[in-house]
Amino acid sequence: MSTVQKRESGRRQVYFAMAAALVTVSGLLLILLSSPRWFGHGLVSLMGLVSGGLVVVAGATMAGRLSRPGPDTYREHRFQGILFGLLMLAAFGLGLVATAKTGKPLFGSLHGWLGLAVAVLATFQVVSSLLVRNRKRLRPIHRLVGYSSALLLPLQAGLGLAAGVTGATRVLVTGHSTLGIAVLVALIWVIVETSQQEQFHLERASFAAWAAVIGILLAWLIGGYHYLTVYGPQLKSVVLNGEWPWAHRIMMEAKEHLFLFLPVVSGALALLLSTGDNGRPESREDVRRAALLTAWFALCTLTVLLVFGAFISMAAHPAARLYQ
Amino acid sequence: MKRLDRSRAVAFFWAAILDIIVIGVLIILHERDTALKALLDRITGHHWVTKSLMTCVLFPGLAFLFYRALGRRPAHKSEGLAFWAAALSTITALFFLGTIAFFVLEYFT
Repeated sequence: MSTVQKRESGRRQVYFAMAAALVTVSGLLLILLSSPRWFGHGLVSLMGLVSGGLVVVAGATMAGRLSRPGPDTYREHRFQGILFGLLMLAAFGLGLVATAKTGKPLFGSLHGWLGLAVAVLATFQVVSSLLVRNRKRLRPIHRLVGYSSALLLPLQAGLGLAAGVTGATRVLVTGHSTLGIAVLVALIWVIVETSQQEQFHLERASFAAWAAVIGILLAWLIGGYHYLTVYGPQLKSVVLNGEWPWAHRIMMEAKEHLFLFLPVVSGALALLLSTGDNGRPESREDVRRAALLTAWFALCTLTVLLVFGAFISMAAHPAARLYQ
Repeated sequence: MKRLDRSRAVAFFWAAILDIIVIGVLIILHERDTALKALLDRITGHHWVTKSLMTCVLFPGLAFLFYRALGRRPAHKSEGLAFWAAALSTITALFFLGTIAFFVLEYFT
């Protein structure tokens, strides 16, 4: 690695660390000064989620799962790992402050306990990596804890989003939003597997695409059941008569219909990856390009629907008592 | 496992494109035509459930039909899967944005 490359990599890390510090301070200020107080906690958690994703990508690259490791892959993994640990501790601390401000018990929800688990796992990763000299012996545990944290994060994000925007951690909305975020992760996985011609892993991309399809089908069932049995009869009129009637008349009306496109697009993606390769190199490249484009499109569509869902839940927030 | 010819994988994009056109047009039409909405309501009890069922039947059904039909012709050297992926994304994006624009206009008028 040349001196110029080292300097560029170091500069990038400094910018990222500065952004993380800025987000953490903003998060604290938001919790102390604004309402709803969970916004600050959510902001830091989101930054942690990005950092966690970069840790996993760099770690998987080092293990040869994604692409050939570059000269600065280890440095990137270590830097993002430390930052991720610090961000998770900050998010956990801010979550406690935000909960304490509301007067609720600090560990009265699954989200609180899972937050503690993620913070402990992240601390273990950072401390053990820095203190233990014989890293070879530590590697299997390090990987196990790393991938466990990566699996916990989408679940934790879904629980947090549902708890924040509905004011109550209820099973149907939580399940729907958690599945949505899990599908988002699966689609990112497809993009990672198909983004480079030399590192195209058809089997893994196909597995991730089918995981996305299963997640979408479950989210469809759960969301549909909630829409027909709770939202329609109880919450719709509250949203229409509330401060944000557009949340129903634009976002919900659009979301309930546009969601129907997602199983079709992701289904085509999964079927393409399962059957499209006929063994010829030019065919494989065609499949890769088609899959990459479709996965990106599905990801963008899903992101819009997730944002719509968050606004609809926030509009229904005053009606959270109806869930009781 | 027998490797399938690339030409057959195009069937899934064609099925997806047709399904999205049918459902997309139905979404706009049933918002303008109360008789159509009432008809969709009558079939299953809720228009959204009817459209969901149509999606469940239409996409796998069309994919199966196209897949079988394409199996009878010889494999082509270049079928352009990326082109059909772009076509699916473009058509879906048009219906996606069109539906949002429709509800925004409905709200403000």
